[in-house]
Amino acid sequence: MDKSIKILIVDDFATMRKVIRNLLKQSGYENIVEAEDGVNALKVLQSQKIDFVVSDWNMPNMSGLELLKAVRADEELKALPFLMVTAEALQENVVAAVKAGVSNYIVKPFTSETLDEKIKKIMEKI
Amino acid sequence: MKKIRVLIVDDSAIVRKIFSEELSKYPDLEVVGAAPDPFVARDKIVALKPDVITLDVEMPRMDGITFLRKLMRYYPLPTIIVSSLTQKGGKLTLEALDIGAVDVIAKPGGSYSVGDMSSQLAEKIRVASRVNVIRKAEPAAAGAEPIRALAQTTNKVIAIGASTGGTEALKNVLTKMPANSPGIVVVQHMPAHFTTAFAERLNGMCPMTVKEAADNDSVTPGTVLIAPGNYHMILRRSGARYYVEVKTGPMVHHQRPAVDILFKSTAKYAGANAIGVILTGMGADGAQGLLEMKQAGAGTIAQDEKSCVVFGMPKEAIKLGAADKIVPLDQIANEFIRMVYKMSYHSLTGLIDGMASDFLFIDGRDIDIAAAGKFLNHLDQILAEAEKLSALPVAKVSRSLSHILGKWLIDQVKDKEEGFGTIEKGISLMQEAADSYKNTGSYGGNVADFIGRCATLLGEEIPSAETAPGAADASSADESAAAAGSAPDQMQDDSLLKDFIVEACEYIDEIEVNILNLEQEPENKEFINAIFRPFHSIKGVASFLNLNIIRDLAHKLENLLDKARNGELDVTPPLIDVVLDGADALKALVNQLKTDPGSSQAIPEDLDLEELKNRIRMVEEGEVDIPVRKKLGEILVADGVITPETLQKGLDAIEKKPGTKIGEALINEGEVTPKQVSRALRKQVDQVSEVSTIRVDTHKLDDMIDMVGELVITQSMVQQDLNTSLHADRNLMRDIAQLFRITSALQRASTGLRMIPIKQTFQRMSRLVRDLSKAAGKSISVEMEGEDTEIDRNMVDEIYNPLVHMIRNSVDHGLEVPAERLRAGKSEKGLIRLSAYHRGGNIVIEIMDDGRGLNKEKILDKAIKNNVLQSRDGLSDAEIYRLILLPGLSTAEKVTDISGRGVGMDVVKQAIEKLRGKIEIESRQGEGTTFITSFPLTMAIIDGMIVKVGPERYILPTPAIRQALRPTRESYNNVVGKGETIRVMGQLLPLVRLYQLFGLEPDYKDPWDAIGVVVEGGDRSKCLLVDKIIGKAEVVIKSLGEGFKNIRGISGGAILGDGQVGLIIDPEGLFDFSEKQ
Repeated sequence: MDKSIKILIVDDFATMRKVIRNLLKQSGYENIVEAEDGVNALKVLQSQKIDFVVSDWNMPNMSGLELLKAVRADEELKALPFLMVTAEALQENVVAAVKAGVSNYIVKPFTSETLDEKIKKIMEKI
Repeated sequence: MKKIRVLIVDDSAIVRKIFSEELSKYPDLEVVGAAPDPFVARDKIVALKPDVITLDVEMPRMDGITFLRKLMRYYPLPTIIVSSLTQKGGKLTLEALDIGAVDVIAKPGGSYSVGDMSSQLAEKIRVASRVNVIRKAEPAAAGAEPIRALAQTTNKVIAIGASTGGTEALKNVLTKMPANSPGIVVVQHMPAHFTTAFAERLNGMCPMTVKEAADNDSVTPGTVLIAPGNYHMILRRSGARYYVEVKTGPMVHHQRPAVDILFKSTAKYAGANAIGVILTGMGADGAQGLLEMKQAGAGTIAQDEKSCVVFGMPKEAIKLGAADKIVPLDQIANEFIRMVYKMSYHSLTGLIDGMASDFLFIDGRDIDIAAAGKFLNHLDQILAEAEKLSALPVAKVSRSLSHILGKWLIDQVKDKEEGFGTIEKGISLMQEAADSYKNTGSYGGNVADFIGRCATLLGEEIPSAETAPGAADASSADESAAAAGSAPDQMQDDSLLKDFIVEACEYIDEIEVNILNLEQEPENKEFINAIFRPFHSIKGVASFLNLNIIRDLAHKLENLLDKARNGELDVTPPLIDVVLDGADALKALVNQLKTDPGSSQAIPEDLDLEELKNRIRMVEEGEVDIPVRKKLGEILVADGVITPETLQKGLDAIEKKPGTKIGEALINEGEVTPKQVSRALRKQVDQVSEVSTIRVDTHKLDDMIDMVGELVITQSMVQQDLNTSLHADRNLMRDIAQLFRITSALQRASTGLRMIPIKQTFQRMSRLVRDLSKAAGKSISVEMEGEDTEIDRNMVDEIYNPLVHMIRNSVDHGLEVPAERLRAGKSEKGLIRLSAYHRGGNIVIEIMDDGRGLNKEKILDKAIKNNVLQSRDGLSDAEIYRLILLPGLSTAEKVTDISGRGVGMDVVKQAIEKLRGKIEIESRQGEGTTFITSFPLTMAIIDGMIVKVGPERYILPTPAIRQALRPTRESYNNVVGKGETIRVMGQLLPLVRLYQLFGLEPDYKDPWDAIGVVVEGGDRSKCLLVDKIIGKAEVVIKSLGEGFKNIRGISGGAILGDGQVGLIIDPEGLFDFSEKQ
C-alpha cells in the first residue's frame, strides 16, 4: 500500500506526538505533520491536503471527539480517514467515537505493527 | 307536494303568534296548531298528527322536559326545542337533546332578529321532518367497549365537526375516549350560550376534560375544546404547542362556528398529525375542510348513513372523496384510537425497518466500525422514539442491542456468530413488537428471554440492559493497563525519555497551580479537568515508555479525578491532599529518571507508594478524613520512651530477622517494657478510631455553645447567691460544687467542638509559598510544626488573610534569591517555618524565615524621615522592629527601600488587633525574621478586666491593657490645647475620663484618687480613668442586638458573675469617641 500518504498527528503532549511519529516511521510512513489540539488540527486540515488523521481523545481547547465531529460535518473533509487514540477501551468512549463516525480506534500503548494494521484496514475500505 | 305539518307548543301567546305568522310564509310548511301547555299539546298531537313540533322547554304546569320524555316514549315525533339564551334554558335544552329532541333554536332577542330566526327555523323543521326518530334506547353503554390508554400523543389533534343530531353523536364518541387521548377540537353547530352548558354536561360524563374554548386555549392531551356558539374556532400552532383562536367573522355555510374553518386550519397547522371526522348533520359544512385535511396527510372519517340523524355533511364529504373511512357512530371512538396508534408508531416502525434493511446488506457476518456506527445511531433514534411512546419492550431490546454493539466494538463479544445471530433476532423482535403496537396499541410478547440471551452472550450476570457497564469496564481498563506491561521496548529511546521528563515536570507543575484554584472553587469542573488531563497524558506516554510505576500511579490518580469530574466524589481536602501527594510522588519518580535513566522500575527509598495508593483507594471509596497512621516506632520516639537511635537499632534488628515486629524487636533488645509498647499500640489504634465523625451544622454548634455560655453565667450567679447566703447547707454546697465542675467541663468540651486543627491552613500556606517562590525565582522549602494545634473554626478564616500577608512578605522580601544566599554562606534553598502552639488561652502562630532579617538602621532612617520618630536613641530592638507596623512606614515601595520588608504591615497589625490578637517581631540581621502572632482561640469568649465607673461595670479586653496605676499629682498635666495628660514611664499619655464619656457620677473625680488604666487601641495609647478595678474574668460576648449595633466605644455586652450586665469597651472606638468630644 501507499506509504507516502500524508498523516496528521493530533496530541497535546509533545512526547506523545513524537512516540506516534516514531512508530509511523518504523512502518515506513514519513510524510507526517503535527497539531497540538483540535483547533490547530482543523487549521491544518483546512490549509493542506491530509490523507489520514491520528488523533488523541483528551486535549484542551478541542477534544478529539469534537475534532472528529467537526471533520464529519465539513463537506470537504467528511470522508477523511480518522483514527482515534484512546487510553482505555472504555465502551462509552468507543461508542461515542463510533457514532460520530470514527474510522477506527487504537488503545495506548500500541506497537507499530498494530498501528500499521489499523491504517491499512482503514485505507483498504476507501 | 305534501306540506310539513307543524305544531307549536309554547306558553307565550306572542311566540305562538310570531311562529305561526313567520312559518306561514314558507309554502312547504303548514302550522296546524298551537298549544300553550303540554296538556293541550298532548291532545292536539293526537288529534292533528303533526310531522314536527316546536317545543318550549320552560313552561308552567308540566315542564317541557317531562312532556318530551313521555312523548318520546309513547309517541316519538321530531321535535325542535325553542329555548331562551339563559343558563337554565341551556341546561334544559341539552337535557331535551339527550332525551331525543332533534335540534334546538334560540328565541329571538338582541341582535338575533325574528327574520334571522324564521329562515333557520324553517330549515330545521324541514330537516327534522325527514329524521327517523326512534324510541330512545336506554343508556348507550352497549356500543362502548373499553379503550386502552394511549401512548404519549402530545403532537396529535383530533378535529370533529357535527350539526343536527351531533350533540348525541358527540356524547357517544367522547364518552369513550380515554383520559389521555390526544387533544380534541369540536365544532358543533349550536346557538350561542348553549355550548357552555353543553361542554359542562359532557365534562361530567367523559374521562377527558371538556370545556368551551376560549381564545388562546392550548390543545393538550386529555382536553376537548368545544367552539363557543356564534364564534369561529381556528387551530394554530406555536412551536410544539397547538392552541385555538376563537373569533368572530362572517358566517360560513350559514354557520358560525363553521366546521370548514376549523378543518382548514387543522389541515394547515397539524397536517398529518391530525384526524378529522364529520358526524351527522345537515348541509355541506366541513366537506371541503375534511378534503384539505386528507390532502395534508391527516386520517379522515365520515359517519355512516345508517347511524346518522341526518346524512348530509358526511354524505358531501364522501362525495368529495374526503373520507378515508366510513364508520358507524359506535365505532368512531375505536377508529380514532386505531388511527392514533398508527400515526404514533408509524415513525417507530419506519426506523426499525430501516435498520433491518441495513442489516440485511452486511456481508461476512462481521460488523465493521462504519456499520456499527450507523446501527448505534439508528438504535439511539429507535430508543428515543420508543421511550416517547412508552413502548418499553422495544426500548429494552434496543438498549440491549446498543450494549452488544458497544461490547463488539471493544472486542468483548467472544462468540461473533452468536452475537450476530442475537442482533438479528433483536431486530426482528423489535419489528414484531412495534407492529403489534401499531395495530393494537400493545404488545403481549415477552422480551425477557431475549435480554437473557444477550446477558449470556456477554457473560454478564445481571440480565438487565440498564445496568451500567462501569464495573466491567473499570476492570477491563485495569487489565489493559496490566497487559501493557508487555509493551514494546523498541520505544526505549533516550531522547524520548528526556522529552518525557521535561514535559512531565511541566505538567506536574501545572497540576500544582491548578489544584490551588480547585481548592478555592471545589465545584469548578474546569479546574478538575485541568488537573485530570496532565495525569492522563503522563499515563499515556509512560505506558509507551514502559514506565510502569509512573503509569500505574498516574492511572490511579486519573481515575480518582475522573470520579470527581463526574460528580461521584466530592472535592474534599483529603482528596486534594492525596492528589498533591500523588503529584509529588510522580515528580519524585520522574526526577529519579532524570538522575538515573535506568531506574524506571525502582521506587525511591523515601517514597511510600503503597501507603499513597492505599490513601487514593480510601478517598476513592469515600472514606474521608483518613488520619495518616503513625508508625509504632514513631509514637515511641514521640513519647520519649526511646531515642531515634534506639529505634534505628530496632529496625536493623528486624532486617536481620524478617517477620518480627518493631515492638517485639525492641522488647527483645531490652529497650522498652511490654507495657510501654502496649500503651503505644493503643495510641496507634486511637488515631484510627478518630475516623468516626459526624457532620453537624455550625449553627447548631453555635447555638449550643451560646446555651452553655448562659449556663456558665447562671452557675456563677448561683455561686454568688450561695456565698452571701448565711444558711447554706453543707450538702447543698458540696453538690453544687460538683455541678460547677461538670459545667466547666461541659464548657470546655463544647468550645472544643468547634475546634479544628490548623493543619489545613498551614497546608494552604505551604502551597502558597511554592507558588510565590516560583514567581519570585526563589527556592524555598516549608517546614511545619504543631499542625495539630486546634483553633476555633470561625477564627480559621479570619486569621488567614493576615497570615498570607506575612508569608508574602517573607517570600518577597525576607528571603534572598539563591545567588545572594550563596554569597552569604547560606544554603541555596530558603526556609520558611510555620509553627503553632497554645499559650495561655491563645494560639500562637509563628512565621519564621531564614532570610536577610530586618535592617534596623534603615528602619530608623525612614521613621525619622517620615516624622514618626524624633530621636533614634533609647529604643530597644523590639521597639525598632515594631515601627514597621506603623502606617507611615509601610507602603510597598517605601518599606522595600528601608528593609526589604513588608507590604502594608500596618494592615496586618490592624487585622490582628481586630481579632484581639497580638503581633511581635524578632529578627537578626543576616539570619532571618520571625513574626509571632497570637490570637484568642475563639471569638466567643473574651478575657477581660472588670472595672467600676460610678454605678456601672465595664470590661476592658486584657490584650489591650498595658498597665494599671494610680496617677500621682505630679504626673497630671493640663495643657491648654493639648488636653489633660498623665505621664507614664516617661511618656505623656492623654487622659480619658470614662465617667465623662458615659455621663456618670463617679466616686472619684481627681485622677490621683482614682485608678488609671493604660490601654492600647490602633496605634494609640491612652490612660483611662476608672474608680476601681474589680477583677479579671472570662466573659461570653453577647451582642447588644440590632438597635445598639454601632455604639462607639462599645463592642458588646456580657453578663457578669453577679448577674449584672457589663459593657465591653472597644479601645479604638472609645479613643475616636473621646477625641471628638
